[in-house]
Amino acid sequence: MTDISIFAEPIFSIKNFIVSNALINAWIVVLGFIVLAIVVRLGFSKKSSKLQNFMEWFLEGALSFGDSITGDREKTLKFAPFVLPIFCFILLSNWLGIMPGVGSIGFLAEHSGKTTFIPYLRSAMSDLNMTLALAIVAVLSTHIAGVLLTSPWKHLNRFVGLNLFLEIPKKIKQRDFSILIVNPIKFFVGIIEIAGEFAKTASLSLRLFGNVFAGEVLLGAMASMFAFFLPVPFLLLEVLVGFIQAFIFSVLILVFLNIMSESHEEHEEAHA
Amino acid sequence: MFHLDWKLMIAQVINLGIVVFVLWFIVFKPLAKKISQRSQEIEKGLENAKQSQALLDKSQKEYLDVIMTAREKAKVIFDEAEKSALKEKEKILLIAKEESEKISKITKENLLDEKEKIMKSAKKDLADLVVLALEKTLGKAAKDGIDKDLIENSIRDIANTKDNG
Repeated sequence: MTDISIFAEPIFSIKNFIVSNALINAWIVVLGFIVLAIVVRLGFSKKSSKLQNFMEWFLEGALSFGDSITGDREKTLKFAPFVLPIFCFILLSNWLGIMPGVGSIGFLAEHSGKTTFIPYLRSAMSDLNMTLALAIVAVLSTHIAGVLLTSPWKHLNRFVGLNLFLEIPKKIKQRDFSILIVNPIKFFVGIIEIAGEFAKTASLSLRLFGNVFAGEVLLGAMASMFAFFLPVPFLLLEVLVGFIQAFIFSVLILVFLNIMSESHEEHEEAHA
Repeated sequence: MFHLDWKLMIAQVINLGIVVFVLWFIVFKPLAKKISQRSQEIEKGLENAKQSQALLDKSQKEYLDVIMTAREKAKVIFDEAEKSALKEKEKILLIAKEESEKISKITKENLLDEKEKIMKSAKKDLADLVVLALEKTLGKAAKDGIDKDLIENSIRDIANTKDNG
């Protein structure tokens, strides 16, 4: 059985920049999308082609599904430019990761006196650098959406809760002394939410990385046991896992974006 | 352990950025615009169809109203014509009756005149006959004054006898 490294192996370097096999895979995915975009765009001038019809069906389906989460087509169209390409990027990366040759064609290299097999290509999502970068960008985008769609003050108070202290004197004047207990608790809940944002990043990145990497290990193990027929059901499983992981990641981002686009009070009212 | 490398992470973010740009601005955005335009066209078509249906319903209602009005008017005209015909009939009948009465009256008068004339002529003829008979009987011509009185008295007697008989 070939050793499958938990991190993406370096293939070559450009000055100080090390190009890993996962990065090469990501470049192939990007190239694939560029080609697809050109093909679809060129087909626009002609009568609706099958590919264009498929893309329209996919987009309409995705937007309708997005509507079921956001509850508003306008909002869905605001988030779709970010979420939909992420879904496509993860999906294609995952499916490209199970293509023949990915993870199996490589070279042998001496490392610490031990000969190891280094594949030229590796699923982009089986590199934590990729998933963590995606998760950081996704979580940051939810905060940008929160600031732009609510207001900087409202978004800040979602976590820091300065308004909670400002409303204490007003409530005391109204003889509502429960505010002295409730608002400090709310303030600490806000602080926990800050930690929650880091947890979001970690869970998004590790879930995707873990599932895809585990799939690679599983396929590698099966292929090393018996190269013919045995990996087929697992390959089909990986096709499904690849889709599900892309779907989960993008749906979670959409949900986070939707939550952040509502003010804290609106969100609490919606859940009440 | 995971060999985290911020340079690789930035490279992957750039990759994602390219994908977002390529997919959204080159593929999905124009497609979304196309879908939206198509939806608008469909909505417009549906709206037009709804308007056409409403127009058709209105036209049908108007057509039925016109038919109903025409039928009502025709009925009124027919009733009026019937009434007018009846009136005219009565009038004609009245005129005919009057004419017939007039004709009858004239005929009656004519008949009476004729009768009188005939009676006069008969009287005269009778008188002449009586005179002739007397002349034949008496053998001479009666004197005009005496004879005449005699004749007239005879005729009167004959007439009275006839009336009594």
